[in-house]
Amino acid sequence: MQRSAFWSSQSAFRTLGRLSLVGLVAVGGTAGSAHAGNQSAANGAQRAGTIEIASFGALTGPDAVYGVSSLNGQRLAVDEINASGGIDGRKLALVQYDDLCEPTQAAIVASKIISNKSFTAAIGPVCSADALAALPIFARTGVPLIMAGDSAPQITTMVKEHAYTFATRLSPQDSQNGPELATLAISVLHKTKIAILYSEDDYGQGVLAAAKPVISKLGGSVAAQESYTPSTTKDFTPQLTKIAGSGADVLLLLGYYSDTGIAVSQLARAGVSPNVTLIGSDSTAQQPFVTLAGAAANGVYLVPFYSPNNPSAVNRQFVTAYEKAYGSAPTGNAVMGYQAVYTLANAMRAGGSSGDLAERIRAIDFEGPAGTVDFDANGDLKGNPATVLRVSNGKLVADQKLTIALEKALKSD
Amino acid sequence: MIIAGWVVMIVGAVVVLLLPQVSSPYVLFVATEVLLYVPLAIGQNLITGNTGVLSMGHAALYGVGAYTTGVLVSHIAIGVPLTLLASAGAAALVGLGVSLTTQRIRGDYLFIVTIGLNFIFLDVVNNSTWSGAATGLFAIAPPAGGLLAVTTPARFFYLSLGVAALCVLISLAILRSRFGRAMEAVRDDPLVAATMGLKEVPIKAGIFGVAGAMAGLSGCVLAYFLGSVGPQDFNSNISLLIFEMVIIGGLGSVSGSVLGAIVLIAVPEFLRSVQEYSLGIGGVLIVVMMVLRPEGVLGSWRTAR
Amino acid sequence: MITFVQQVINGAAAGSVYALLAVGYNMVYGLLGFINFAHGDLYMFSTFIVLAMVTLHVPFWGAVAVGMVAACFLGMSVERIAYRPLRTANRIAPTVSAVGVALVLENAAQVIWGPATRPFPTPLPQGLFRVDGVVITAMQIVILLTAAAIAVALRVGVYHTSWGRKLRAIRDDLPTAELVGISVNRLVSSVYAVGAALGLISGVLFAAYYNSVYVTMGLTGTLNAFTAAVLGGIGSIGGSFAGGLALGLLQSLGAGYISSGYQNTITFVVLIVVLLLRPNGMFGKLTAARA
Repeated sequence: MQRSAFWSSQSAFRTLGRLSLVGLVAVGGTAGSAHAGNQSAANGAQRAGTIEIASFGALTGPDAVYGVSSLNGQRLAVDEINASGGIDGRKLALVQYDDLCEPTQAAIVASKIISNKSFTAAIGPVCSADALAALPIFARTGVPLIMAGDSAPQITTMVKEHAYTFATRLSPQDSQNGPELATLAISVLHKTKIAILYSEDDYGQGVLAAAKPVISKLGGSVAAQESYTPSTTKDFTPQLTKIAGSGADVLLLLGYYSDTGIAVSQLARAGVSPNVTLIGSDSTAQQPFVTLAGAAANGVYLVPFYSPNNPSAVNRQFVTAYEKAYGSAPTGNAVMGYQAVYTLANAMRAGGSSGDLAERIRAIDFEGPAGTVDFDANGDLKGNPATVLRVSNGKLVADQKLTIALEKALKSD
Repeated sequence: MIIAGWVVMIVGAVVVLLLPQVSSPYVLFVATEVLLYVPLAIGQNLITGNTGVLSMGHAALYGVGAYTTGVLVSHIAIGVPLTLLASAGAAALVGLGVSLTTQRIRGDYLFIVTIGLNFIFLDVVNNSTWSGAATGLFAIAPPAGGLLAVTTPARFFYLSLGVAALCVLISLAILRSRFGRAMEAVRDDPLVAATMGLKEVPIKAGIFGVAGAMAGLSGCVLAYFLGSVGPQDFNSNISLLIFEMVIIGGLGSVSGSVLGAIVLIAVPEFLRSVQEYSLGIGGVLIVVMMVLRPEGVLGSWRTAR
Repeated sequence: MITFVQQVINGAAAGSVYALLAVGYNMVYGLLGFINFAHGDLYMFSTFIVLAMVTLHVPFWGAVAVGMVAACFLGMSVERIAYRPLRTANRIAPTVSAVGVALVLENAAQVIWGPATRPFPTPLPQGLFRVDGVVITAMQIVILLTAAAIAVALRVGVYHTSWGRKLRAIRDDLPTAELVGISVNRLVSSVYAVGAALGLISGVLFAAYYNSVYVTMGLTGTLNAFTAAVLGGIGSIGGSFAGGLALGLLQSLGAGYISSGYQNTITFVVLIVVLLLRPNGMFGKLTAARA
């Protein structure tokens, strides 16, 4: 074939012509829509004097349950603050974006947020990989970002390396929960043959990686270590049957309640002895876990980041308000969303309108439903002491004796 | 008619080239995402539209490209042109390998096998340390000052525009060539093609290789563009999205594939403001488009059932 | 040894859930050659309707009956709106419009019922037997028997009734079938109604066995059903039953003895090997492959 024939050919020309027409329409359309969106948002903000907050996370797809929980917590906080007169008379307004828990989507959403000058701050996402993709984009404008559900240690590395002072992280650390679970099993409950069921995502793998060195340090051994695909795996019997045959005397559940709840409901079917002690990680330690697991949840130990029966006044008020608004007990994601909005609001109140908002967010120190909210030099939430819960008659009940024993054991290591 | 075509082309080119000067980062990011999907849709179209092979695992090839760049950059000091080549090469090899291994499997049977390959890819990257497991790899940056070492959104837009344009041209060239006619002969009637001496296996393998290379290029640019690579960007929903782009744009049509990429990326962006109902509205639009134009917006190839 | 037997039993149980899904899926797939990506979302939606009824204290079997009617209605409407206009188009076009339907159903379900996984209360027997240390549950037996009964009933329906004869005529040659006076629209519509009803039965049993109903259960179910149907051989009812059982055993033994992280890999590698040896699946006919 001759080159010239290709370039002058009718059909190739037609294709190129169509292509550019298609491109034109698209470019015009996208540019127009973005422009219109920005303008209406900016006008709205000026008219009402509102403080606009961008919120992003998985709102559809398999991980939507976590993103929507977080958003519910955020909305509740916004409503409370607005009902009490807002911040210096200005109301808060949330604008939410879905990132489907896909990094590319998170990047697009981040670019949309930084393109809109009317946003005071951003809250999100619920998946660590999304945070890693979004952080460099937020760095372009430095709009304050409060991450409300990303526990991966890699985020600390990135924030530290690039000195991302605009970013703070309001979620528990895998590096804290993993050792707590291992210590509870070995030093407190004296169970050394350990089986592990973990989710094949950054969360499950992160807690596993943090727990394993502690297990071997304390003289325990890993009898079985099985993974599942989060939100997709429903048949846990292959993993559980293997665990049943491994002779383990304790099973660590490192995953989210939607999955571990179903797994626990299948224990009997897989022939797992009722004598095996179960310990659930912070993301399992939620009321819906008990709902899904049913009677099999009784006796399970849980080490949560947040427990709805935390007796503090601020928590009691939060739980009552949340249950009234949504008809169910708040989850860890909900409390993180709630605290994220209060972190922002308190920081704005603290400094009036002067000074750098991101700096004031990092300097914040207040009591939230999940304990003290204050950040370390990397913008990570300083850990609160762990509480041990036990499921009893379908309810999460705090176990004071074990909580004190765990605290002692963690100190002595 | 010809003059009108030229005018459209020139105005289009000017607008596209000037886009970065006039628009917000958001518009640039969306435009870049569209451009990243163009090579994917075009590759899928070569496989399904022009060669008639049902396949829905394109996100795996895209992922091979992205992870190749991610792994190379985190281990050795390597420039952008070399990673582009390496990613294209790796994904082409995977495409070629898949096609050759499964050469006896056809039709719907191959369809499910390619869906499965996407799952296999995810299993591997989710469970390996070299791929950063489920969190993925991050801090993927080109060396400062190297050739094509772009960092700003505007330059990423031009880089992906270049890659997309290259793939469009390659695709047009292939379809105009003897090889392209051989592909379509195999698609329309494998038996007749065989009697004409056309060998189905190398033709299909070749086209999987080319499509793989295109997906690899996109994957490489994506890795730099995001600065990170995670498994969630290559799940079977992404494969399905690429598949839809080709069907909606029109099987066998290069410009249709480009249109498909634009429609299926831009429409959800328009729908972001109606967040809660966006998926459903998108679904209704897909049904309406298919019912109105079963052969795709710019498609012409209609197969008998 | 106990572990192995337990893995086989649980694998067979999971396999009978897949078999149930695959047999229902095969109803439309085998007869009309249509890769229906909305099949799972249809039964997801109607299973949610059953759950909503049960929550409103409607007796369980009444709720299932309502769900069944809703499923038939939904199946027929979707066929009328999204598939029938595409019947003469290339065969991939309706596949994509099915994706559109799936998105609409998923979105609607999330708006109505929320994104959380919900437990599924049933009066189905939850008993548990122990035989030499191996556990078998009553639900596993119920599911296996239901799947077998449906496969047999479908086989009879398709090969031994005039309804089935007409359907096979449509499958083999649609224009001629129309020419000899077969009312194609009505028959195809009935296929979708029956397919959706079978889908509801598998959705309810899936939900009861795994104690979960959730918005994204459709797509996973569709993929498993499609895989099982292909593994068994497209168009073969017995094949899709066997394919489902084989899929369950594969996942169970693969995760139990090789690696739970590579469960999908093991499944699909075996699928590829089977198809390389038998390109039309375990029980497929030679003519079943379509371009």
